[in-house]
Amino acid sequence: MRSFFDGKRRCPLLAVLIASMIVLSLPMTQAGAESRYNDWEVWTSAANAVLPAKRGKLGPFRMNIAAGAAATPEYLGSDTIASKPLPLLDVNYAGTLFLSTQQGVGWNMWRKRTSRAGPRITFDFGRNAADAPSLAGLPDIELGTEIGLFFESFVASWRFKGDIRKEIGGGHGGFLINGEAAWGSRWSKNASLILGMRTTFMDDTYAESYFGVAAANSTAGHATYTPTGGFRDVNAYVQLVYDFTQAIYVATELRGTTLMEQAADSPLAESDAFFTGSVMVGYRF
Amino acid sequence: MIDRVDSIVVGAGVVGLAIARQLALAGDEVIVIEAADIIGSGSSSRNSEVIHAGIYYAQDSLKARFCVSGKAKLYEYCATHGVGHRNCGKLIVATSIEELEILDGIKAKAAANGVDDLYKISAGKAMALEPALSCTGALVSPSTGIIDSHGLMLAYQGEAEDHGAVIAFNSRAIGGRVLSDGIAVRVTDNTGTEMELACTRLINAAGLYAQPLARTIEGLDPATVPALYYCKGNYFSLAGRQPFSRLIYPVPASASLGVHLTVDLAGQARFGPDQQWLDDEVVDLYEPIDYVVAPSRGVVFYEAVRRYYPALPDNSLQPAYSGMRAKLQRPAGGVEDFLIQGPDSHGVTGLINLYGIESPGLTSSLAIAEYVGKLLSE
Repeated sequence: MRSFFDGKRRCPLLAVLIASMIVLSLPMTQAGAESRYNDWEVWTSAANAVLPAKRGKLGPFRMNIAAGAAATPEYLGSDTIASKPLPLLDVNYAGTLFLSTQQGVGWNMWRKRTSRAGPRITFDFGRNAADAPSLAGLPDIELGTEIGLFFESFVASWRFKGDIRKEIGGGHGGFLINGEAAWGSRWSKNASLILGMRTTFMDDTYAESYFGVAAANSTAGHATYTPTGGFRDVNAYVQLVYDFTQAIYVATELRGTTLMEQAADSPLAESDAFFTGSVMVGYRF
Repeated sequence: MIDRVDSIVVGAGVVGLAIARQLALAGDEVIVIEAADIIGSGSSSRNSEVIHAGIYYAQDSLKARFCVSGKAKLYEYCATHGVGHRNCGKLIVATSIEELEILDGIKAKAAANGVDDLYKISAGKAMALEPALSCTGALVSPSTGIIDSHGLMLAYQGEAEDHGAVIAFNSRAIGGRVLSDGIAVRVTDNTGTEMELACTRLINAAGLYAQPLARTIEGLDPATVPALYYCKGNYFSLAGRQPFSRLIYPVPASASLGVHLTVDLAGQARFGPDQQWLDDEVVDLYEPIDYVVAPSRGVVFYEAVRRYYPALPDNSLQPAYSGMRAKLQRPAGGVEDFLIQGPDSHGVTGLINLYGIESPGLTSSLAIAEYVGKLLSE
C-alpha cells in the first residue's frame, strides 16, 4: 500500500504539522501555564501519567499497564502499513528506578522537580527480513541492547528530552542521538493534549545496518548502498489522553515522520514520509 | 524405505518456480528444493528485469521460441495476477554507419523469430523521442518491457503453494541416484543433516549449479552433461534523474546484449551488464559467489554508455549489483541455445536437466515450464 503522500511532499507535510502545532498552541498557552504538566513524574509520557491525587496514597511502586494497537510501516521506510500490537508496561520505584517498554530500564540518577537525568538501557527490536518482501535477501537485524544516557526537563508547559545510546548486544551496533521538544496542556477536565517534535541522528554503523545494502546482498530490487551517518528522521506528533477515571485512560497518537538524508535515499526506503497511529487503553495504580 | 513424492524441482528461481507451478496445477505432488532461505536469490534476482521481445536469437532456437511465446504469456500473466510490469518499449541504437547495417540484420532476425513489430527510425526521430540520445539510427521494439521479477516469483510461488507444492528452503540437493522406478535425491539442510527423498520426476533447475548437480547423479551418463562457463555481469546505477523514457540498447556484443540502459519500476536507471568471464572452477556448490561490483569497472561503463549517451556526467555511476550467467558458450565461442534434456537425450526416465538458462530465461519462464510439462507427459 502506498502512502498517500510521497517523498516530494515531505516538506509540506512537516510544514503542515508544525503550523498545526503553533496554531493549536496559541489559544491554549494561558491554560497551559496552569496545567498540571509541569512535573516530570506526570509529564513523562501521556500514557505514563499518574495523577497526583493517586500518587500520595500508594507505596513506592507505581505501575502502568496498557494494551492497544498501532498502524505503522512494516519497517522504517516501508510503504506497507501493518497493524501491530502495542503492549505497555511501566514500573516506577520511588521515582528513582524505572522499567518500561517505552523508556527502557533506567535510573533517575539526578532529579529535581522539573528535571531528571541518568543512565539507562533500552532495546532495539531489530528487523526480520521475512517480514517484508522488499527485504528479501537481506540479513536480519537481531534484537539489540543499547546503553546510554538520558535527560528530561520541563519549562512551564514545555518538555525537552534527549538521549544518546550505543548498541552493544549484537544488534545494529550503532550509535544514536535523539532530541525532542513537546508542549502539553489539558484540553478539558479529562482530556490532555500533547504536541511534539522529535529527531534522530544516526552514526555510520546504524545507517549501514538499517539502510545499507551490502554488495553480496544487492539485487535488481535493491542496489548496493553504503550510507553514512546523519539525521535519520524528524517527526511531529499529536497525543491525546482521556481519563475515564483516575486509573483508567485511553491514549491515542498520530505521528508524521519523514526520513532524512541518507536514510531517505536508501533503496530500502520505499516511502520516505509516512504517518503512524496508535490507540491504547491503560490502567495505572 | 525412503519418502517419495511425484516431482522434485531443484531450484526456486524463476524457472524452477514456474515449473513447480506448472506441475502443481497439473495435480502433481511437488517439492521444491532450495539451498537458500528465500526464493530467487541467484540469477533470477540479478538481471535487467526486462521482458525481452525475442529479437536476437537464432531462428527456431529454444531461446527464440520460448522468448517470443513466453513474452505473450508473461504479459498476460502479469496483467491477470497483479505483477508489476510496464510495456515501455526499447530502442536499439546504432552509433556508427557500420552499425546501421547491423540494425537491418537484427530486424530481419527478429522477423524470422516472429517479432514483426520492429521498425527502423532515423537518428533525428530517435533523438526527438529521446533527447539525451546520440545515434546514427535506431530500431524501435514496441513489445519490450520491464517487470518486477521478485513479484513474478512470488506469484509463481503463491500459485504453486495454493495447489499443494511445498518449498523446502535451506535444503541443498547434493546428489542423486537413478532407481528402477524413479530417482532418489540426497538433500542436506543448513545443519548438515542429510536425508534422501525419492521422486518419479526430477527437474534440475538449479541454474548455476545445474551441471555440478547433474554430475552427482549416479546412473546418468556424465558425458551428457555439458561444460559450464560463468560470465559475471556487473551493473552500475545512475545517480539523479534518469534521462530516457525507453530502454536503450546498443548493438549487441558477442556474449551479451551490450551495456544497456534499463529502468526499474521505481524509475531508477541502471546500466549493464558487462561481461566478466570467470574460471569455471570458481563457482563451487559450497562456496558463496562473489557478487561485489568493482568500482574500477566503471571506467569501461563510461566509455560504453557515452557512445549513445554522451552527456553522461562524470562520477554519476555507482556500483549497483551483479549477476552470474550460466553459459554453455565458451568465452570466445559462438552463442549457445538453452539445453533442456529429457529422457530422449540421456535415457533416464523422469529426469529433466535444464542447462544454460540465462537471458531470456525470465521472459521464457512460462514457456519453459510448459515445455517441461510436455516432456514429462510424453
